[in-house]
Amino acid sequence: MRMPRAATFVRSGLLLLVIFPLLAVAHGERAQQANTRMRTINWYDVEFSPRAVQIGEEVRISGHFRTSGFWPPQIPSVEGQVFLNAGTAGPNFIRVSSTIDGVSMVQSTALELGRDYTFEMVLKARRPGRIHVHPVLSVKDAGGMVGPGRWIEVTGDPANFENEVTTMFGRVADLETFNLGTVATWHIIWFVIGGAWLAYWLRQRPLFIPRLRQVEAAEADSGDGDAVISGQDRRVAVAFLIGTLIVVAVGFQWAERMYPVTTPLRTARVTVPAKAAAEPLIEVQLQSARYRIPGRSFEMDLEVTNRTPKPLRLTEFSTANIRFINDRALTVQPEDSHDLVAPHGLRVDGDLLQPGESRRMEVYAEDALWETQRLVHMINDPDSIIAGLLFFDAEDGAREIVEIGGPMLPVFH
Amino acid sequence: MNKALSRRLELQVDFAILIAIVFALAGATSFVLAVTMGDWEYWVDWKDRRFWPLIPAVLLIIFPAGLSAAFWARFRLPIACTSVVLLYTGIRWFSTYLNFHVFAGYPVSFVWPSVFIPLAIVLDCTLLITRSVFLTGLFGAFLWGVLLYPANWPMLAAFHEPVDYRGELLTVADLLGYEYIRTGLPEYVRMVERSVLRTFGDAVVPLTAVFAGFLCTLSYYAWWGIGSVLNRQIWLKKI
Repeated sequence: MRMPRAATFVRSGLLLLVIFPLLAVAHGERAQQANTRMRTINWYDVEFSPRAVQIGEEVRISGHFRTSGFWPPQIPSVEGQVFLNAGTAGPNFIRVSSTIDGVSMVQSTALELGRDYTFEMVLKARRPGRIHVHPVLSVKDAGGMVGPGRWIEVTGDPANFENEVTTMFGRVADLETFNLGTVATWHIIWFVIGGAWLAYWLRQRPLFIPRLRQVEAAEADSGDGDAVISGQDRRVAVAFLIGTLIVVAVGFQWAERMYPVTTPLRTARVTVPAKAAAEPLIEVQLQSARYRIPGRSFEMDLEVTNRTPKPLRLTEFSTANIRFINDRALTVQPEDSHDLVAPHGLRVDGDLLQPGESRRMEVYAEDALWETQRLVHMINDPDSIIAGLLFFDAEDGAREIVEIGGPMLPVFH
Repeated sequence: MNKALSRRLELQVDFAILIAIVFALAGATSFVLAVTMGDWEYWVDWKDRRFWPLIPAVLLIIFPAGLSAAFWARFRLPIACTSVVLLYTGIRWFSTYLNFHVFAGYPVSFVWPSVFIPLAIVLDCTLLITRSVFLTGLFGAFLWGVLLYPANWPMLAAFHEPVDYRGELLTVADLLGYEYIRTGLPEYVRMVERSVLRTFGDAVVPLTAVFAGFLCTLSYYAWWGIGSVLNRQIWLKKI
């Protein structure tokens, strides 16, 4: 009796899942291994503006990212082929433009490791809803490196959305319904012709068993089952064959006359100009890194030298899209429920660094986000190497961003 | 058995065979083609000059050729190719409208299915006219590969008209692919024609079409052979 009950329970559960599916709102940003999220693309200063739009209005996503100098060698990197993408559940927006360092990203490109890039994407709202959007850097053979996401409120009537384009021959068309009439017409024509061919053969009722008997009888009589094929069958087949070839030829000629100039699909790879890496004005060496599991505390022991003429303060540590903020120097609050900011998450033992000063610095990044964003899984990664960005701010607004990285040691008690 | 009862039973057999064809073949064809040539069929910015006229043509001939072996040997009915392709095309439209348009939200213009029906009619007619598997493979299957591009060009040509998009040359198809966001399908994933040094006087389509025709001929023979093996009458010797 237990088994049927258990089976009924499982079946009921599956049925409920089908009837009342959970809302899927994530884009897999927590699915990748922790160390690969920390050591691939570090996004920063990412802004979404505005956050509420009408259908047909534009949203601008902009910011910067640094391609990690600690990129895992076993993972294909941005030096291969990358595409600036948007992470959203379907075409809720259309992409109006996208650039990296001002270069249009309609096509794919290749980037350098250990460099900062500026990106911008302009999306136009197409369907209503509360939509979560991320910038994504899709890396060939590796996958999507997902940036910070925000909720965008889109209101309005989707029926009003139009997406007009003018071809180089002056033809204006709405891409929402582009050439749909021609596509449908040709499909209908071929369905009718194909249906007529089947109707000719299927008109005889019943069909299969009598036909089988005829073929068997013909083979028994003359040794040739083809005797069941009549002269009319052959004439009809010739007519259909010639008719089909004529329709194909006429259609092709019509298209050639209508569109005398066409071009193949575009597949060029664009180039983002190389830029020499700026000489770092602040030098940071990661001496050791420990992750204390009971306290969800990531501890770094740094050797820091300030070569700038200004006093600098460590204000932020950013890794895997999580921002740990030093609240003694900076006030940042999460912009929405999916903004991964720990406003009080960074504790620094002596955060102010005088010009020319060189000393050790103890830094603690502590927050439940380590757990909820599954970064604690770094202790399960085969290599346990971490990386992230440190932000040093001067009083006058100047900023130095340094990437640190190295092995991490877990502390279990 | 009286005549009326016999006729009723034969009609029921007709019905059972047709239902089996619709569900088994339409489902199997759609599944196999979705996992093998799906993207070339789903997206208009995959319908290029080098791979789209080749891969779908070679893969779609599997079921028509296999089923033709059975339908021809048993019934001398040249309808297998047209039946499979009509069913497949119907299901593709169903899937295009419901899955890609209603559910996912892509414009139908971006995801319309290719036309294969004329290819199937030519293959069926060739089989009936020649009544020879060898000649049908040589001419009919060759035309199956050759005709895919010209049969679809009336629908596709408009999508290859050039557009000046913010100073870049794109086709309308490229623009659809760029604007209508596919998070899981970045631009570089497309397996489409790229510039190479090996050219033949820019004759990309004719070369591809001839090669597709050649492969379709071989594929037709292979799948006809497999269909014949599977069609052996082992259990029921006589009706």
